[in-house]
Amino acid sequence: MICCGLILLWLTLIPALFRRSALFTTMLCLASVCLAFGFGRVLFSSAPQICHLQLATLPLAIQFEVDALAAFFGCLFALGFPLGMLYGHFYLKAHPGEGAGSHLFWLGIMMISMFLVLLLRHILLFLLAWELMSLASFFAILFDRNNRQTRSNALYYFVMMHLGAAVLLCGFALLYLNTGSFSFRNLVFAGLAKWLLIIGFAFKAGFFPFYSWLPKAHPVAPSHLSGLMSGLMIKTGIFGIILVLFRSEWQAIELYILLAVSLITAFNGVIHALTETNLKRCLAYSSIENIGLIGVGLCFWQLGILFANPLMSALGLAGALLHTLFHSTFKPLLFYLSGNILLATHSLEIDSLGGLHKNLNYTSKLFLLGSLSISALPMFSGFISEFSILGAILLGFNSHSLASTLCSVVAGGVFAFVSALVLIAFTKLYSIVFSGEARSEAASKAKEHPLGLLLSPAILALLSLVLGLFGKLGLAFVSPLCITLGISQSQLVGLGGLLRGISLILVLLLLVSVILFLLKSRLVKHSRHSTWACGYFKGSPKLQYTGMAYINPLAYFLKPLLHSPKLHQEVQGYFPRELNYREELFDYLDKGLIASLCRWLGKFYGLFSGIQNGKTNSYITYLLLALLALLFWVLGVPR
Amino acid sequence: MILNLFFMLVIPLLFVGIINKTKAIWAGRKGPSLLQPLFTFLKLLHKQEIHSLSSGHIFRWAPSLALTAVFFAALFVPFGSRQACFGFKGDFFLVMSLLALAKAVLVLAAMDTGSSFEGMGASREISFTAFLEPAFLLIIGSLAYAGGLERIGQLFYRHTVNIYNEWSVIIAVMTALALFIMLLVEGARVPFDDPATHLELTMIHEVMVLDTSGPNLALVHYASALKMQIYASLISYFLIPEGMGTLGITLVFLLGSFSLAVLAGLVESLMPRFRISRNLELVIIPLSVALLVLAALIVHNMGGF
Amino acid sequence: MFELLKARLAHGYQAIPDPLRARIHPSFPGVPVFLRAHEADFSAAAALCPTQAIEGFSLDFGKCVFCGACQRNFPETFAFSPEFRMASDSRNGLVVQWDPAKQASSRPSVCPSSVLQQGFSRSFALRNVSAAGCNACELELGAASNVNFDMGRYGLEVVASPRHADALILTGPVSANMAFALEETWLAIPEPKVLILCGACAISGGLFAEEGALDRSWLTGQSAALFIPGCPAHPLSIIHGLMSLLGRVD
Repeated sequence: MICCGLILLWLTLIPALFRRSALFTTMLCLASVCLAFGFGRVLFSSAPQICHLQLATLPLAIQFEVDALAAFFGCLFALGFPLGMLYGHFYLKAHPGEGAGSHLFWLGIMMISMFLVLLLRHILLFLLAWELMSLASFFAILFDRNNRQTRSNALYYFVMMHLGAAVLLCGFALLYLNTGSFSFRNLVFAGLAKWLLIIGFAFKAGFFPFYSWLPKAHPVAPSHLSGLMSGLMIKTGIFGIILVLFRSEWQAIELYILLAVSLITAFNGVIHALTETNLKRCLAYSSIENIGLIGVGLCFWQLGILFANPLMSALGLAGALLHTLFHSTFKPLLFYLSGNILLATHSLEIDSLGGLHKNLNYTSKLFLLGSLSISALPMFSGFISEFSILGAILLGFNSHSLASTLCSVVAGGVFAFVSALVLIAFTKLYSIVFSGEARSEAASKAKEHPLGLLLSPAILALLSLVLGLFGKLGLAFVSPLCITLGISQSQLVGLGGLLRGISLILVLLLLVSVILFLLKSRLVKHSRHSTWACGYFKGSPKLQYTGMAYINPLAYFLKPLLHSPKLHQEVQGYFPRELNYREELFDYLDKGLIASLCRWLGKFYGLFSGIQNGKTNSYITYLLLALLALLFWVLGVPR
Repeated sequence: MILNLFFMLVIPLLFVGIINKTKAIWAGRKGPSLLQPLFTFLKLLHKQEIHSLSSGHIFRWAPSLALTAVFFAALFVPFGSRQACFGFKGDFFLVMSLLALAKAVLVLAAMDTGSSFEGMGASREISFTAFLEPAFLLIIGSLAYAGGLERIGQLFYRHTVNIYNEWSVIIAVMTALALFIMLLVEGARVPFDDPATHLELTMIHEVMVLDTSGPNLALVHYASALKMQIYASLISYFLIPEGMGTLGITLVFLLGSFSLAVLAGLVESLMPRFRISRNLELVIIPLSVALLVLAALIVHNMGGF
Repeated sequence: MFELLKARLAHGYQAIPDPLRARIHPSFPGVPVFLRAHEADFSAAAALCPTQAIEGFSLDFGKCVFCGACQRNFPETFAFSPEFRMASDSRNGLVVQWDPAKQASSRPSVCPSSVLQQGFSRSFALRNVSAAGCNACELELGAASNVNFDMGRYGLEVVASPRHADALILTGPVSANMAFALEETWLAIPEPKVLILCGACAISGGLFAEEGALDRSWLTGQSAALFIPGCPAHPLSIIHGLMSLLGRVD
């Protein structure tokens, strides 16, 4: 089944080359169905499938291994890709960019390479698939290649991915040196190798401090690609991290470091998500925050093993995997809808939008569902996963172990703070973009899109709602992998019972509130009039709250954490005619550390720039010097 | 369970009435009757609603969802009987999230009107939440540390004040202080908010419902009162001695709730509403108190003192 | 802290026990009464009256600013009784007529509003619109909620948002600049609602009625439910008027 699906995937490249996106999408859906069936069978029957492929031309035997881990992520990808391309097909029709020609081809390659990354367990082939994934996504991002910002951001992304791959290469090289074999199928990672591998995968996943490519790459990529990257591609990093975590021994101090990094990632992500004014960059930073939360869950999985608290382990791992699953539903949803907004208003700056709930009716309703999901509110999927992770944290408040308690205190405090900040960020996003009145001409002229651009987001939103109301479904999907990774069945059964109880309450909540609302709307008459503005008759949409105003009380505390250079003219004279004030918020890591690193490197390489000075005379001199050196070397060798 | 439901329906508005009566007595006037919030609630049900032309669907259904969410959160908190209506180990996050859901939909409804007054109220209200959530979690954490994780009602009921054990007194008093501050913030009372002056520029919660009318307004007021009562119940359960009979529990619960109402009224009468920047700093107090309690418990457990 | 406690103890209890049946000082200028129908006195007083409230054998105390000129000059004919129960539910009810049959003047009365049926008697919210007056009526309305008069004990309160209000209580003569705000405020109040005019300026324009700066066009199209005369209206009049409107005065 899986091989069938893979072959179909390869075949999708043909319509891609001919830019037939409809045929491409259909074949992709077929391929995904096959793959989903195949992976699903492996996942739920818990029997790892191994198939060999011997290619006559190459001297090595390619071995595909499909274990539960690969099957879980494979299912995830197989479900995510068709939804992504479903949206992408209509998006490309509505927004044909300059790079549309090769875009589909590179998308196809990216999808194939992502599946290959999951399946291959041979070091060289794995790295090949990994690099292919980066390369393909780099070219796919260059959809809008005439834009200078797009080109520079895509290059930045590519360089970061390459750095990550280089670190992975070092790690795998160490492994090879230690064990002498290319296959890491049943290997135990140890020592420096495991750290290098974790860092390499962290580049892809977007942990601190390797995340700066995310907010650069996502805004410039076309929306369906942003959704696919954010929802699925960074999960390959998580796949790698789970692999390394499972197959190594961890000391307490190492786990504390990992926990600290995850918490910093989450915190940093949400701080920037709060203060961003570009819709897609905001969503990108929120992806970083979610990756941080997944990291926290994974750390508590390992900490549970360390503290001999099997329930903590179970909840941590289940929570992390559930969050991986749910994030792949609601984050692409939000990205696709941001694509809708971009097509309708040609702007992603939230402070020039507003009032879109009237024009973009369905988009706004779906965005609301997505925002409520990501804020981990009950009745939606985000709640279930954060409930599990927080359960793991609360179990750590144990009077028998100081370390456990301290971990829980720090993790719990930061976790609660971060989830409150996420709520603020997404209520801000929804309210500024959709509520109230339009703040600009473009926003008031927006029109809702036909069904095509709404189909995929609608499916994802429905999934979020259903998975949130019936948490047991998500748990059922995640359990086989948990069991394979060492969690006992009984803990999961306990969690399942808990989730069943929660489902009951949430369904009841939904029913009661719907009944209350319907009763009220039947029995109470209502009329429409303008918003009460104290009788002020010169009102304008510009009087509404903006994004920065909304987070102003918090910005009071966050100012030291954000780099915000202010540029303003000095007031001159007694009757100044014009004044300018500009304040921008920058990422410390981005503009501070990495920029100065690049500048330093540039200066260092600049020292050598005198060598290539374009003068033929100097090149002849170099040739002469080289010949002389060779002469001396040859003559100087003793016989 | 019936007792819980009965108190859940009756006490919140009475709580607000007691606060107002305390303020009146302190001011030297007769003041509205204890049941005045109930009369206002019933009157509002007779009014029609006006929906702003700028607002969408959220404005219409948000109060219904908010009240239902707070109501379901209250079902997990014991209201006068030994146990709450529902409960399971670790249900604390569900309670916290349901309260957050209520707040989130009300904030979305406030921003929906496109009014800058309501935008200001919404942004301040939700900023306070950012500091209260970790505080609540750490309080639950410290109670769990002292005796293991339980359902939220049992956690508070178990750690009763035992005057012969100075540690339990310290834990109870400090936790009660943190929870009381959270009560004041969530219930939009002075010194964090002023429910009496109705001036837009000083308001946080009241201005969020500036455009709300009729039954929607009634639902919002009731939800706010119920939220306050949830915190008051949790604090009262600290005072109930272990092993008391059902009648005793109910009596101490009622006494505790009403004295908290009187205390809230006194605080309102004695303090002005502080500046918003000062309030933001004050809102960190529950967090620091919770950390302090936890630190003290840990050190005590380690054999420190 | 202790200062506060000392201040509180010094205050004591200052609320008037029953504002509806309070005894007011005998010199309070309340409802005007005619002692006799002397034609010369009436025509001379009509010339004296600053707001032309006196016409024929009637005195419109919706226009009256209670200056007392008529009483001072013709004490045998005009008197202002210390009766603070001055409100009326109709404009005509504020016109004191000489009734030849009874040899006495008419008195105003209020019958409870039909618009405000059950539910409002115990909780009534007012939204004050201050429309370019001298602010005395606003101060008196504010005083009605203070420690002495305390109309809050009856469930009457002044609210900030018209969406929360049941009645619009107008004070001031309504200048051209406030006309839009007044109409907007009225439209912002949800049904059922009533209009209450408080003070001579609100009822008839008061001393400013002949000024060109007024714009009472919207008001003439509305039918107010309650008229509370006075210049300014006394808190006791206000409270009594409102309670009569709600049907809580026997």
